[in-house]
Amino acid sequence: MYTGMQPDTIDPSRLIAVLKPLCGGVRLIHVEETESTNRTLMDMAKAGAGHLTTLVADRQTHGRGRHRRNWASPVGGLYMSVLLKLSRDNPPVTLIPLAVGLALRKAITDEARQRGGDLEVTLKWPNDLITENGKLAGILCETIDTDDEWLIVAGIGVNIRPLSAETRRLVAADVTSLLEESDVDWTRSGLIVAFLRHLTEVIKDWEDTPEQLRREWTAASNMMDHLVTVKTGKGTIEGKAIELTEQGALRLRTEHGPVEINSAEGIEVHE
Amino acid sequence: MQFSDVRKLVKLVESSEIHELEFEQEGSKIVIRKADPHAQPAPAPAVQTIAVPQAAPAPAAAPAPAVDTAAQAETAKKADYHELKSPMVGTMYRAPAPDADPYVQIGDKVKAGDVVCIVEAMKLMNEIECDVSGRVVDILVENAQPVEFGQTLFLIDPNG
Repeated sequence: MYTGMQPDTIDPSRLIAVLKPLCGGVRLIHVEETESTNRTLMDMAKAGAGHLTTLVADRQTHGRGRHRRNWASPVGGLYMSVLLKLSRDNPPVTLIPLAVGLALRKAITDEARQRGGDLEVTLKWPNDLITENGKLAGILCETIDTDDEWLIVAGIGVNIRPLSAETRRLVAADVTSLLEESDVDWTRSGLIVAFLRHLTEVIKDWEDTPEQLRREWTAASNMMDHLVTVKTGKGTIEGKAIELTEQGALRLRTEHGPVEINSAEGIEVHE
Repeated sequence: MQFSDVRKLVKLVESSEIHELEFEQEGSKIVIRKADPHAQPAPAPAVQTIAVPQAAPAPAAAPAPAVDTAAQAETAKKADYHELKSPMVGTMYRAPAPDADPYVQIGDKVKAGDVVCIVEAMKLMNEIECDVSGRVVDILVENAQPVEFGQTLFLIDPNG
């Protein structure tokens, strides 16, 4: 529970005991500080760490977003990365970032409900978690491929309590936090367990029924049938969001015909 | 494989947006690659047929159908270069951030394991490491352009 400035203490052995029956092979490491949980875990992956190795840090000195954008990581937020080792004989690996977003959304809404709150979170392609007040959490997945499997580090950053005015100025975008959205006793421990449980489930869905995963993602998003403006590295594209492709790309209907977006600097969803 | 089959494959590539097609069957491998639009005009795609000997290490001089002399010279030169390919569909970024310098430029020396670009799809970032040491002789994709699975991104001269 968040009392004063200190978040709840993370006890890896207690959390592992809860998680073992739900996510076999899970390993949890907690550190006070690291440069970036993604970077550290990728180094561990290259050194042989196993599937579902999870690294949680109280703060990151160089938390990263896409294209090395800074991810503000003061004490109080949840910063964790999970290593996924996935066979190449599977549906498109590019669906994984969307699956991770879906798992985090389920974890947050479950935790809110269990603690007597109610929280409406939607997914913005490919995996931002947003409310009507702004961005609540971000995800960055990084991968290297080997001959027979993908090593994916799925990093999440969740704003649990309000960011300081100074941090908000640096972020220069609409941001919100769990406590601003729903005033319940959020704990990092509860979110970690819920996220890993849902992540294990969505990975299984990805393996067995990827089309179901895409349907679930679509239902949890606020984008389809809306006009969107997509800023890409080559300019701006406007169109109506129609569907996710099998790869997880966002298909738009534009005045020049259908366009598939697989990379974007920013997306604005219009009413 | 019959010559007519090769012709069909060439037509397929010509009429599509595919930049490069690799086809392997019964020990023979065919690579059809469209000419670089920025290079001197070449109306027909360059076609290269390479026999893949299972035991004999010496490269067999296989017949090369539908290849003009210039393209043949070019492919012979390119055959000495290592092709670094994209492991997934996505968008290629030559720098780690929009305002950063590119990882590598043409002419740069690279070591195996050096990151040479990022391929991103659905915010899955794949830092592409060079798998040989050598010199970058060509970069075949512009920054922020879409790439296909298996598309050649860089030509590396291992003797450079």
